[in-house]
Amino acid sequence: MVKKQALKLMLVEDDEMTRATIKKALTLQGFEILFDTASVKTAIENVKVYNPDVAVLDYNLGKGPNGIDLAKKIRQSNPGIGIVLLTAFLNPTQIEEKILQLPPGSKYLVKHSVTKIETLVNVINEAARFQAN
Amino acid sequence: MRALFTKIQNLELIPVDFLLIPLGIVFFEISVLISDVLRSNIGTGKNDFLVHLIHFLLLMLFAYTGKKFLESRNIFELHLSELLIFGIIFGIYSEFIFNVLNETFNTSHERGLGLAFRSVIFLGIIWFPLAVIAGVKFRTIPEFIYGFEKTLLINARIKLRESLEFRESSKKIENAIIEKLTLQTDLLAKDIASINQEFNAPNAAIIQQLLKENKLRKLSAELENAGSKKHGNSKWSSNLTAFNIFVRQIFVFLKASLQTGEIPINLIILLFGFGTLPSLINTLPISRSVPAIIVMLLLVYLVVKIPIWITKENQLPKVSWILLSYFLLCYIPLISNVISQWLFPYPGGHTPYFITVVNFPVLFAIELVIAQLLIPILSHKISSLAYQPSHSIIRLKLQTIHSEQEARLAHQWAVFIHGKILTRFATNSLRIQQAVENNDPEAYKKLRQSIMDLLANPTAEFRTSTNTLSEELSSRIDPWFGILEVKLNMSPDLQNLKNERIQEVGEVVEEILSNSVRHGGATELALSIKLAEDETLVIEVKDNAIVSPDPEKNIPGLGTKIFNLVSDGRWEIGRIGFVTIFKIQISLQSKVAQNG
Repeated sequence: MVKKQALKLMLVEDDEMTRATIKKALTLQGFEILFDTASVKTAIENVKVYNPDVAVLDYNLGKGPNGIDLAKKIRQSNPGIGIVLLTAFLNPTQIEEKILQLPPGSKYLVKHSVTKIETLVNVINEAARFQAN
Repeated sequence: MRALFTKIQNLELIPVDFLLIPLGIVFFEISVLISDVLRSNIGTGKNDFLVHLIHFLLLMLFAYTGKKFLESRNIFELHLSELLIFGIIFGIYSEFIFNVLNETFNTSHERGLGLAFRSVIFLGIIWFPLAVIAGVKFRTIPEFIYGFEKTLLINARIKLRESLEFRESSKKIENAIIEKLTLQTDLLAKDIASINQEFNAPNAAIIQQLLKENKLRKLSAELENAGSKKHGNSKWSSNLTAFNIFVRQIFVFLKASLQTGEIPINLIILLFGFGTLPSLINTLPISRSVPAIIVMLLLVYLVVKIPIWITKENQLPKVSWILLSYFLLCYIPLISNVISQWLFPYPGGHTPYFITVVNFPVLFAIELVIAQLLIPILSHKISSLAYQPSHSIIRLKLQTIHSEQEARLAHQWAVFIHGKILTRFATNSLRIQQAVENNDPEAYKKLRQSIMDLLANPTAEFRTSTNTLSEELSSRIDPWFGILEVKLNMSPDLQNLKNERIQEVGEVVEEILSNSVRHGGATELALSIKLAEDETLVIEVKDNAIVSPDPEKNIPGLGTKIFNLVSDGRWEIGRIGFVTIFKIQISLQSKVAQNG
């Protein structure tokens, strides 16, 4: 029997506590977190080196680019990467215009719906299928 | 003599503009109508009016056809001789149709050949060429009004931004947002506090539910919508606004013009002469009219000069004195009329009182006001006093900058609420779930306390401390590494600059960078920052955006509002070749701009 290989992730979130929580939860779910960072610069530098399967990105990264700007850039350098965008907006219509700007195959998830880690896990798996296709 | 000849030679090819022709025809027609009505029997006034109305329409048709004829041949300049021929044709046409109309409507004005000849010469050689030549100069007036409006609004914005009223209104906006926020956090804290502290899955689920379904999300959405509300102006509306602002400023403009741009005395004499001499010559014999003219012109000279003489050196003349002198000027013919009749009675020599009491003063006052408005515009000598916005403009602008500030603060708080507070809620909710799954009551207790702490002081992390300019710029530019290559050119003495507006400069730079990437698709950007002599920070940006900015389609969004608010409206964007150029000026001190 061939053991299914764990998906390799990168995590970009500017809030340290949130980042640590998501990282821990995803690790417990069997994902391999290649790197996690609050910095867009580090994310862009590392994505080429580590070549993760899926990037989990916060929409609001503080000053500078947002998650969509970063998603576009990393899709440029790693065309096969799956993308999950986390947002704290109330509903999708609120960021409808912004979502349209996301690279193809990207998934987004409203943060408050992540009360159970399984929700995020499912979306990450869906995003990873972009690579498979 | 040679100089005069050269001048005439230089004048030979003259730019022509028909802008003033319709206005000129209106004035001309009215003045002739009045004199014709005065000369006619009372009963023929109606026909006189009809004759002049039709004459006016036919002259307008001639002028319109002439304009279209020249435009169709791309002729925008004429030789002096051509202009005179054009004018004489206009004069002959005017005289011809006037005679035909007089005969048709039986107005029976005896014009005679001499009068017809004088009319053609006056219209063709003086009136028409002067109106066409002056039109070119008057064409600059709309441009001036735009520039003037822009500077006025900039000055109004500066005054308002520094005013106590604006600071208080900003505080009020922010307090209202904080009040709404704390109302929701207090309610949430109360709800969480009411839940039994015992560690179990149902209690944890209730807290998770409260964190998920609170009204802070709605508040964040409301604030985000308020911040990103867009509104645009049509070209017509912009024209109307510019004119409206100019009209609101007329009294301030006139006051400034009265103090520093007095009407030249020769122009006053000319205007006065146009208004008084014809009736004087018609009414009195030369032996009486000539001394009267000399006395009146002497009086005009004295009346104009007195306010200037009594004003101390290095002081501006008092507006009240100038207005008094203008009032006296208007009534010189009346005074002269009464005194001369009292001293040297001459039966039948009265100038009709209607003319000296009402007609002349009103017309002359209108002429003076127009001259007073036009002289500084046409001579490009606008006093800095004219750029002090009137109270009505300041009031008008207060609403605009109030709404811009409202949008800016609403956006900042919306980002803070969903970026910080709601993110913390989501994280804590996830952690509570983990604590339940791991059966960890200690972690649950700590999380519950952490949520209560956040709700007790929700605004704690909102404000950031003021940085130096260099630190502020780094915090805005560095995160773009890898997405946008920014070359910063800033003089070393600005590096450690600290000012209460540094954070606003940072907001502007943030908007510039994000607009370049998101709307222009730029990958490279050069940012130059200089400090001008008047302590204004001048930021110039060039980028390789692939999408060209289109000012016509530019609907003011949040970015535009921030640019307007921070720069007091002093920013512009353009495209040269494949480079987009953006320039913005941010005042670091309290000072009213002098011009646009």
